[in-house]
Amino acid sequence: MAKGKVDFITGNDAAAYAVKVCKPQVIPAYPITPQSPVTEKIAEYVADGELDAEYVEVEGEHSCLAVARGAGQLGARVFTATCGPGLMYAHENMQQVAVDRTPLVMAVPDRSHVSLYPDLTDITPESQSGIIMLFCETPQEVMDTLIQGFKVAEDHRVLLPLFVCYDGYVTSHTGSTVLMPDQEDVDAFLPEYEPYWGRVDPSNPVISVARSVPQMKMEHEQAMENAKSVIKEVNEDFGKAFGRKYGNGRIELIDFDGAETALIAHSSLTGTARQVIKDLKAKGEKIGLIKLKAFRPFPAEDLREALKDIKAVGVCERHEIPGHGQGMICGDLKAALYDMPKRPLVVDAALGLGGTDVTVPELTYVANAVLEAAKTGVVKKKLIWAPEIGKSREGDD
Amino acid sequence: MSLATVERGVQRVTIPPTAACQGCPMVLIARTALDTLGQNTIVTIPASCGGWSGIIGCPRTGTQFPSAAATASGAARALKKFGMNDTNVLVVAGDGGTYDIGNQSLSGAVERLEPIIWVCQNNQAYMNTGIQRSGATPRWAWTTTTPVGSVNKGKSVWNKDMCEIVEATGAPYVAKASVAYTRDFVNKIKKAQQISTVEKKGVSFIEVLNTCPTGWRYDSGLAIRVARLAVQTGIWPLFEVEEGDFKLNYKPKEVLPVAEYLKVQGRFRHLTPEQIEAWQSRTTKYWEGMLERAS
Amino acid sequence: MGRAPLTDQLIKTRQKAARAWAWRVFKPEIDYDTCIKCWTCVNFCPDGCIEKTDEGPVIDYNICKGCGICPTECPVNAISFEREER
Repeated sequence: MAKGKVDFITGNDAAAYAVKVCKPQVIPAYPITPQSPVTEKIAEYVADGELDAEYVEVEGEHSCLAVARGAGQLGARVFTATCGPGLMYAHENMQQVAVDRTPLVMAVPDRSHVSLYPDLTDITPESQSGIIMLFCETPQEVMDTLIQGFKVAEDHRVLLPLFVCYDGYVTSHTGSTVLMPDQEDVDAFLPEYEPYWGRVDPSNPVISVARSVPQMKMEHEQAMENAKSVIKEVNEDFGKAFGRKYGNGRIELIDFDGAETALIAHSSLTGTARQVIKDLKAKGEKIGLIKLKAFRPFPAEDLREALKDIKAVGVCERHEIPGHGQGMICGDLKAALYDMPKRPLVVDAALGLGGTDVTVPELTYVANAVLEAAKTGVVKKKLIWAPEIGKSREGDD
Repeated sequence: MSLATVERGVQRVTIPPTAACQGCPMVLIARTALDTLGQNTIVTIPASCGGWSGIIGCPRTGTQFPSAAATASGAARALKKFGMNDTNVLVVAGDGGTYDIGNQSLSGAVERLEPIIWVCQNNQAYMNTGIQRSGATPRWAWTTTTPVGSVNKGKSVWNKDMCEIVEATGAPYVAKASVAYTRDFVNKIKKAQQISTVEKKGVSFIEVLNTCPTGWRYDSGLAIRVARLAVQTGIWPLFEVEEGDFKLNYKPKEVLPVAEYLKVQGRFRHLTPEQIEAWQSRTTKYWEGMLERAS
Repeated sequence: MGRAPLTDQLIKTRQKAARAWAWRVFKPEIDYDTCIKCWTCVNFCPDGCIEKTDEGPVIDYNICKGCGICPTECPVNAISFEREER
């Protein structure tokens, strides 16, 4: 079992430490709240000689991703961090990084587009582009997922950019106890990056034979499919090497024995949901919790398997698509359940938009709506908005 | 084969044919730069006529239009990490990718002293997409977005001077070159290679006037002649600034009137005598500024 | 995406497919008696179609687009520029 040092650090510090031990070669950086401490900490590591990387202080996030793209095309291991409006500004080059199939790993402390605080609106524009996205609940998970992330992204069956998403402020700026792995153990787990075409070689002129875009897209589809199994493999390997793993890498079933109903939660909402489920089970309710870790590729098979005997499920997400009556995760879930001969009733809850707090009373309200749907066989309200939960938010139960 | 290539006996790095217009000086610019620097070069070409430079025998990065300087910076940093210290990093950008949409990332790269050789082939408009005006288009020029009608007659404002901007941002080498003066251009590329690739002092910025026959509306056979006129009228002086040291490379025996340059081009066909006079006084002031700085 | 080595064969195939010569309306022709081998035409041809040989400059008509620069720049008017018969 791997050893390490225990420390009390924030999610951003955990991300920075993970970057240090994974040793990327080119790191472009631009500040944006709440991501800045990640790149500040990395700058300190570089300044002290603890990390030998090319640190590029760019003049904007659009250029940030362009630097990553240029270095990635030549065959360097690249890392960067951005979120919120910064990720939206970088969108043009982010798309190209995905099309280039550069395995860029990015720390994304999610930030809403209309506030400094967390929701999933910053990854929404990237969510249809074939980029791997993994959610993290705690600083420990941020650290572990980032280390796993390089191994997943750089696998030759995958070769895709990868986001390590965690709630801005809630996870990025709050501290918790983290076991920080030693460099030797990470070196044993994560080999050096081997670019698919090898490093750039000016003495050997080759010409890119452009195939059709549909063919490129079919290859990209296959890579995302492969990512599902690679995520699981790497999670298993990490568990063996470091003693920690997160479900099967894609979802985690929590308190699920005998469950007839379920809640699905992501990122820091999971932590709060654990308490709600525990309290309800103590009252005798047959409800379990599914933690959604992989958002892209969407773990449709895992969810169909987990929900096959479930009567009703509630989706707790920091997201809503105006005019759709649901958020991204509910939409993807319903699409995954469509072909099942027997499927659960679905309740969606748009919580914590703009980074507002998601409380135990709120999640309890959603869980109760799910339990009622299971009893009556009817969903009273397909979408629950947090402001409509009203008085039940005040104070703790 | 360019003279430079034949004399130096190196492998041609750009291979014809190109999809560029007949008589396009951009091809000459790209060829001269690449053949002088040689195969051990990573080239970045953002959206521009430069994309039609033919088959290129050295690695070329893909970049989005605003990001040529940033993509090249990423390439330069990767090369440094790999220990490939004598590989050139070249950007061949148009005026759009230098003056307008590419301005921000260029400014950042210059300030960071990235070891990049930047060749701006300036045809004074967005020629590749159909002759739309850019920040480099001179005053009263006809373009498809500043057409000559009954109310508006050409572009209403003067162009930027990118050499001054890049020099002020701190580039160690800034120069203007011309396709009509090949030896001077080749010398400047070699100087840029020394400063950027060998000594890693920062961005070397070389701006070359690309006298586009298609967009400037004149017969393609006169392309080099128009480039020569630009130099001899003082509109496009050949100079270089190496870490603050200014050198005027060529003083014509007789500075020709700008009307000689303007009357060849269809894009200035509608100019009134007052407008030509305004051109002349602005150019005279610019040229005298060059002479003063040289002394 | 695939990659192929940049061989002479690949270049020749590309040049043949491009048919750049089809753009030509007027054709430059060098009079070797007048030519003084200053290589100005070699220097200024944008596409680099003219090769420097012991006999003098030789135009590759597969890639010459007939732009008119070499007849204009030749200091001794050794290059004619007539409409091409096709």
